[in-house]
Amino acid sequence: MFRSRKLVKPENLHSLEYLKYIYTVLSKNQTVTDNNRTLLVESFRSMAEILIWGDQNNPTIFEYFLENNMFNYFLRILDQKCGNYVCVQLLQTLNIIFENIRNKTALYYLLSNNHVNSIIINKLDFSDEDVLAYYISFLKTLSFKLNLNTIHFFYNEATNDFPLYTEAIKFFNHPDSMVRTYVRTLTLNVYRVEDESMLQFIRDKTCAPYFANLVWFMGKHVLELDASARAKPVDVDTQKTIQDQYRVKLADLVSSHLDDLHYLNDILSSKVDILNEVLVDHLMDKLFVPYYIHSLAPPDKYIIVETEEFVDAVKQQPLMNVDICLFLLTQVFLIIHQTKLVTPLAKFLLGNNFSENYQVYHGSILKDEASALPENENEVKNDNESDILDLKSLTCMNITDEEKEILLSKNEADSARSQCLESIYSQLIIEKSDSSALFGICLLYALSENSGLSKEYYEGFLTPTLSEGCTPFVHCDERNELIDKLVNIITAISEPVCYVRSATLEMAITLLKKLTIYKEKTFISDDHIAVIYNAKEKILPLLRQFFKKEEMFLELFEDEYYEMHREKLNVQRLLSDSTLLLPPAHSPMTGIPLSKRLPCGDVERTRHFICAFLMIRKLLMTYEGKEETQLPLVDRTKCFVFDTPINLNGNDLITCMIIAENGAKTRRYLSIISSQLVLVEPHSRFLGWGVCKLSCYLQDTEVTKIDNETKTLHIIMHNSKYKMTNTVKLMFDDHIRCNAARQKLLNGRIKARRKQLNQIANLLEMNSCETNYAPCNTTQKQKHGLRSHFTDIAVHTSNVLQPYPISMKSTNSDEYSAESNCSSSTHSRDQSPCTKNLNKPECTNSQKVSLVSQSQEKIEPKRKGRVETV
Amino acid sequence: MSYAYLFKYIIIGDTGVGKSCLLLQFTDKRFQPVHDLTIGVEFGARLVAIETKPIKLQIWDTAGQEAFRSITRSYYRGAAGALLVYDITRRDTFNHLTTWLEDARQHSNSNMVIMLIGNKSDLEAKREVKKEEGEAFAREHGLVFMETSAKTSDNVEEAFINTAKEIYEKIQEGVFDINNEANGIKIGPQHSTGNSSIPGGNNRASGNGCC
Repeated sequence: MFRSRKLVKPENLHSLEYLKYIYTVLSKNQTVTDNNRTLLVESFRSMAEILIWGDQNNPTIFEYFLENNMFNYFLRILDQKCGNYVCVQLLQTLNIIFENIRNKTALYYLLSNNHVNSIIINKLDFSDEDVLAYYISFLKTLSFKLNLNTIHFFYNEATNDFPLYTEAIKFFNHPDSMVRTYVRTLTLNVYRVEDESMLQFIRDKTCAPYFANLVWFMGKHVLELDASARAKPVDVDTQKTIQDQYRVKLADLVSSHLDDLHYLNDILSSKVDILNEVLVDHLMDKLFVPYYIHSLAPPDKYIIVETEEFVDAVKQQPLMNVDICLFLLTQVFLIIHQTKLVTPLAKFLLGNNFSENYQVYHGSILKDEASALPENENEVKNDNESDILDLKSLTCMNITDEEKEILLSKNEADSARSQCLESIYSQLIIEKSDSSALFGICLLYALSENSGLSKEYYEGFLTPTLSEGCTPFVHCDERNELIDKLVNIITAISEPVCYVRSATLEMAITLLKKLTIYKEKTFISDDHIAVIYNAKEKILPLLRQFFKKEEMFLELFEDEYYEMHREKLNVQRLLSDSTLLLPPAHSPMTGIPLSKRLPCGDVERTRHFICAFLMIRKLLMTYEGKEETQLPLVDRTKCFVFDTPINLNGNDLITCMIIAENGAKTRRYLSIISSQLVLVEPHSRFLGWGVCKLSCYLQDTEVTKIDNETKTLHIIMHNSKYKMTNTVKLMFDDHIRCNAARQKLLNGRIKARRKQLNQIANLLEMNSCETNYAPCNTTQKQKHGLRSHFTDIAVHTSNVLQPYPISMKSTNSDEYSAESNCSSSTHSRDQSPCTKNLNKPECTNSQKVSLVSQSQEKIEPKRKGRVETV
Repeated sequence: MSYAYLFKYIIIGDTGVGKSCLLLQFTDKRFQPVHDLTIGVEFGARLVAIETKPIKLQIWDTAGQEAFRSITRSYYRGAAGALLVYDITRRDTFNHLTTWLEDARQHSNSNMVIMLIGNKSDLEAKREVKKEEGEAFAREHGLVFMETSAKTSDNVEEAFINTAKEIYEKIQEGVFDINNEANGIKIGPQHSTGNSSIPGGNNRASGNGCC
């Protein structure tokens, strides 16, 4: 095959000879035929390899390539419409060459002569997905070579020609997402090159069509999204397959909207002002105002009039659903942080009454602004600085309440902009579904978090105060109204009928905190606090019922607590969830996490209200400036860590073997210290001390006995914080020790759980007779057996424990033995002073030192407590 | 060119771990292992057979997109499979895996198959990351793991094909929605019986209707 026309192929591929051989092949096969096709493809393929090898090892190879103008063959063959097979290999060879070449001179030479541009404008068969993929890939590879030195190889100032860019953007809306992505990469690479005349060219020749198209398609997607979100106001739980399809489509549309916004943000971040101006204008005029703003606040008689078609478009297109509009707008503010875009948009939304008020009174100052179109148009292009100035002067203005009222009433008549806020406010009232409230809150939150938006626009409204020297002005009313609404949402969640989701509550609380807390000072009226307090009071009886009925209440409570602290709410992630656009779901079968849907069944209702309770409680504590003292129920960070030395003097120790999966046995001693199961091995230096090898809180352990093995126990240890489970198999010397260990663990677990249930009862402000009904979550038998004496233990523990809160802070064995083993307390107490001394040299890290010092503080009161107990 | 399915892959990982070399090695495996040649490419396609079905793999390298958030997002979303590559001779590339994985999980569709690749297995003497560590990482995060060498082409074929097998299995199980091209899977045009070939391959059967 390679022996063509008496040519002898050199042995070594990586050599000049081989390139000469290829040259001969190419020069003899200048016309592509069915017979030489394979040979040509093979030649191009080898050529890539030789050239790159030469680039890295032997300069003469490239010289030969350039001297003989071998690049011309590429063009000549491409021009022949030689079929996709050859075409694909040619493109791939070009890709390899441009991707790997390091020699700048060679690169410049290849780029000169306009060869590359000729290849770019060659009309290839783009219906073949391979050809297109390799072609786009070629363009993208080239775009990474763009810089101030190379730009003139691609952009020809004289002919006003920039094929790399103009050809690429033809594919900007190709159905293949990867092709679209490559085109976007290329455009961004182009915008990064700071060549003025090139950018001017893009602005003059391509900006309008490209950006207009981009925006037009975004608008189209937005309408599609709107349509598919409301197409079927079906119950989310039923009609699963149809539902799934809708969800998939909706998810896609939301994702591509997010993609678009990120892309816009990337373009705007490139800080090419001349392009960004055009883009911002397009976005405002063709997308944000007609679709979003006018959906929130339907326009008056005079809407933006640019062209005839545009008016038609507005009239024909149905406005979007307000919910969806808020959802999408929130995304805009979460993603785009470019002042040029967010400022005009925020002005519409926040109903910047100031400038208009100002005009009424001081029209002369802002004449230029007022003399322009009375509507949005000029607002968009306004430089924001002047507005900030207005605001400043206005807020400092001395104005009476009456005047303010006049101003407000005047505004109602003429501003479509304050309508937006009105509209958002009306969404914050929860009737049947909390969706609109959730989106409304998110939007305001996103506004206040947007780094591209100057604080002046919402200061005093979305923040508690104005900056120094100013008194709250009109925004003050708006802020109070907003606080009212948020507080009402908090009240709504305390209704026994659930229709507010946890996510909504969390967002409401987050926004409320933003509105009312500034530099650790709170700015909220007592009335509002009273309402929140009432909401908490209303949840309490609900929870008390669950507390009595629900056996797993403790576990649910702990789990919700950790869930709440696990990760901070990420609004951006929350708002990229398309399922939020559907009516709130009930069923867990939708796969939506509980926080984003309504509870189904009693267990979920329990969780729902625990979560609400914890959040509201925390909010109130923040306002009251209280420190958390009651939660978590058990501080699991105080669990003994691996390799901690523990003084075990006076503790019950049971010898046992850990049996590993492979049957290997390790000797350990089991002890119960401070409500923890601890497996230790003897300390190498101190008699009576052990080193912790495994530990777990008793309430997190499950002990099972295997029927036919009298000496072994299976212990399952749950880690509720990290949701991990660890199973250990223990073998004891005989069945008596085994049973003793089992009994100890079970009883310890019951005690520990009871203590925590009491703590919860305290949180729920239950009196002691109510707690009697608190279930013990163990096996049936134990539950019955223990109920009878539960009352006095409850009283007993609350008497003993309350004045002396249990401290888990110490590694010192002294106080642990106090709880676990009263009979030996005297003994271990005697040890305590020397324990301290012993402990100090032990401590290698600072953590331990601090633990010891903490323990020293605890020891004194502890002892007194013990005297009473004993 | 006919195929039953087209799977889109992306290759992710730190720069310099040999992503584009892996890609070139797979799509054009005839590149000879020479010590003095480093060569790669950012896009490639090849036809493979999974359970006798012809499947086309399109691999899109994402190198150089780090500056643009929008681009990274779109890549992940459009792929059915991802090769997450690190360099066994550079510990830092292994340490960054968590970040890559987080990104991938956040932006991709939940069914995307991710394969962990420890590349440059030919440089045993310079090894900094043990094979066991790679295995442990993969186990912990539910990934398939393999050590490869783009230079000697060791395991390269397997890495791409095993990923394809897993995607194929997911399709059989009905996990992937194949009608949604946004997932990075495309159903082929009507299957003709004609022998298809790999792009850039030299075993091309002569006829190709559309030119």
